Amino acid sequence: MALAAALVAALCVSPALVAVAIGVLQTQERARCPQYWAVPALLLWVLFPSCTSAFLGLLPVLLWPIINGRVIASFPALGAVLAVSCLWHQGDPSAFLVTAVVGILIPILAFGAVMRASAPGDLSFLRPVLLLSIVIAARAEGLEASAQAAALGLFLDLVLLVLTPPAMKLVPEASYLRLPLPPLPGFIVLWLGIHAALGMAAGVQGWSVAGVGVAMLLGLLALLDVSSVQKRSGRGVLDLPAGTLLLTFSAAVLLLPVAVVLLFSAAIHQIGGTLLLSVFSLGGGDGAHLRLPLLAALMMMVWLLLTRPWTPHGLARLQGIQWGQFPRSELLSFFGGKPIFPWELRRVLAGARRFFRNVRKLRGWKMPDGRRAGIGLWLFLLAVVLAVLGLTS
Amino acid sequence: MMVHIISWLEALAQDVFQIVLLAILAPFIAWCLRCGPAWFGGIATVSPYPIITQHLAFWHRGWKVGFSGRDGVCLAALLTVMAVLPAITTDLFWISLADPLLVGVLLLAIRSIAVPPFTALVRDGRIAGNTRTGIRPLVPAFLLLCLVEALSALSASGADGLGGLCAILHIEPGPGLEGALAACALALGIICPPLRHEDVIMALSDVRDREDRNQRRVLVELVNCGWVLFLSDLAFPSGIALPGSGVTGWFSGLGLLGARLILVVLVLGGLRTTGQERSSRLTALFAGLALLIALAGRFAT
Repeated sequence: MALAAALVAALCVSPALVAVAIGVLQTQERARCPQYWAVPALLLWVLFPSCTSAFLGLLPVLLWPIINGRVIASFPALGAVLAVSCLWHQGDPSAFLVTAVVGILIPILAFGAVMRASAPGDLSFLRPVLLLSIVIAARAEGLEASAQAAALGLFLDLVLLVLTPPAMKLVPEASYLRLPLPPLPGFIVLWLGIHAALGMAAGVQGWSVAGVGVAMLLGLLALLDVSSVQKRSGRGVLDLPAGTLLLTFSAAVLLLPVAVVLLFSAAIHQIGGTLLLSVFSLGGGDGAHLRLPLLAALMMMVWLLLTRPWTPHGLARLQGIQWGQFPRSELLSFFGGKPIFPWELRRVLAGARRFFRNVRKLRGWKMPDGRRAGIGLWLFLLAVVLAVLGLTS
Repeated sequence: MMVHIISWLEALAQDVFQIVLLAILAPFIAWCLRCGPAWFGGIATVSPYPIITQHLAFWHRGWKVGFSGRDGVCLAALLTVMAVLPAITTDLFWISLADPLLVGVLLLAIRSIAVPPFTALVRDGRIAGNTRTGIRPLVPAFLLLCLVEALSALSASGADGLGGLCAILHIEPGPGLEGALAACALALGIICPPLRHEDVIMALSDVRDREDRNQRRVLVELVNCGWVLFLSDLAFPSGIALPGSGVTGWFSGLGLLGARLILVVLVLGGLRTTGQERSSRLTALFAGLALLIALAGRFAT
């Protein structure tokens, strides 16, 4: 853990180390980007280090296992850390462009995975880039609080991404920490990201639609987190009894955000920013506050009162909790194996397939029936008009 | 100092009163959701008394024996939600936790833990039963909750959760925001309606112990009650009394709570009788409508 933290810290500070790390990634990684893309992208990035498009070309090189989706990376978190530090070291990146490209990339990848009936790569590795672009945009606009909230979310997300793969080898249940359920740290990332994006949407003119879009994207990524959690289950190296596991897990849930917030405030203090953070009430940047420790304490108290583990009956009941039964949801059925679509979607898919077949044959085809989608279409058009108005005003 | 302590105690008493009130109301809401449509259509139904006795037995057994680990987790989260959501007034001890996204995700999580759709319905890798209790309606519901958060931040920036939203709406009524929230609540009610009694019985069919099954069934009814309260809070936030409104404000809040709950239950029953539950087209329509209303309200000012 200390090693990983040191690595992250070093990468955040030095561009030279970033270059070395990209080299290591390119030579050692099992799932690396093909050379015909990697070499020109790296060359372009070296020649035009302050060009945002060059950075965007570099993204597939760093995050190839996510885009490919079929190979499991040997250092999954390194690509995300590298992408974040590259973006951070870039001179004056256009945050809007980065957000837009990543925001278009995520639905395309998810939809492509659904269509190919294969599991998508862990798309949440794209989330740090998204959060960092919010940080950069908020700092450029002078929204200090939003930038701070997004940066804290980014920090927590990176720590979770770096820590969970090795922790999962020891205890598979460690991956539950990334779930977006309220007392868990994954929810803090989601909440902070959404509120930072919405702070941008409310505060900056051009961002009012993009901010809502980013918020929805973060929600989508959180859902994909749920589906990716159970994929790599199995027995860990440490086989802990249920009670110990429960205690360790609760301690991790409580202590991980506290440690991250403390580290983060220390870092901000070092850099010299305004120190507004407290563990008990995380500000979202748009006036809302998240008092998660209070919630966790309240739930814990009520739960203890309800189950009464100090009585022998209660202790026996506690031993009976089964951990391995995390819902293998129907959500997963979209990805592993054959997808099970609802009938409406199947009808649409079949219709689309027939439509394209007819187009290919060019034999007397007629337009698809648009009457049933009339209201939705009009609403969509109106929304587009309003979005354009919002973007231009 | 003394004043502070007294106001804290007052807020705490409000919380306890609210939880007790909701626990008393839960069997009636369950009866309305289960038998209301049929009763309205003139079909003979069960009276509310057996449901009330079941609820009494639930609390009695929980008090005597204690709850199992899983039920305990659900009930703890549920009681937390009931303590956090403003029902009569926003003068609550834990009002600062009433964030729509947080409470909504918590309720969805409780709902999917309380009924085990996964063990009962997924056999041989295929979905064997109906998908009404499954996780699939939760996916759009989650995105809708994100949308609610987005719209409230867009239209009332600076509001801290539901409490802040109520305060802002009392000071400066915003029809755009209220309409958007009501449309969102309607979309949530369509895509993620309260769990049906029949589905719960089916989903719990492989729980061996009879007592366990009864406990779980009542638990689901409590979850439905929490979900109805959440929807009513979201749809009509201006009906909640503010802290400084005195005794008349409190009683008007109480009356409006009844009115809100009745309205939500009626709407949910209407959706059920007309067969519009989980209609993805209607959900998308109302979500789009909410987005439009909120954006129009924002650009109009």
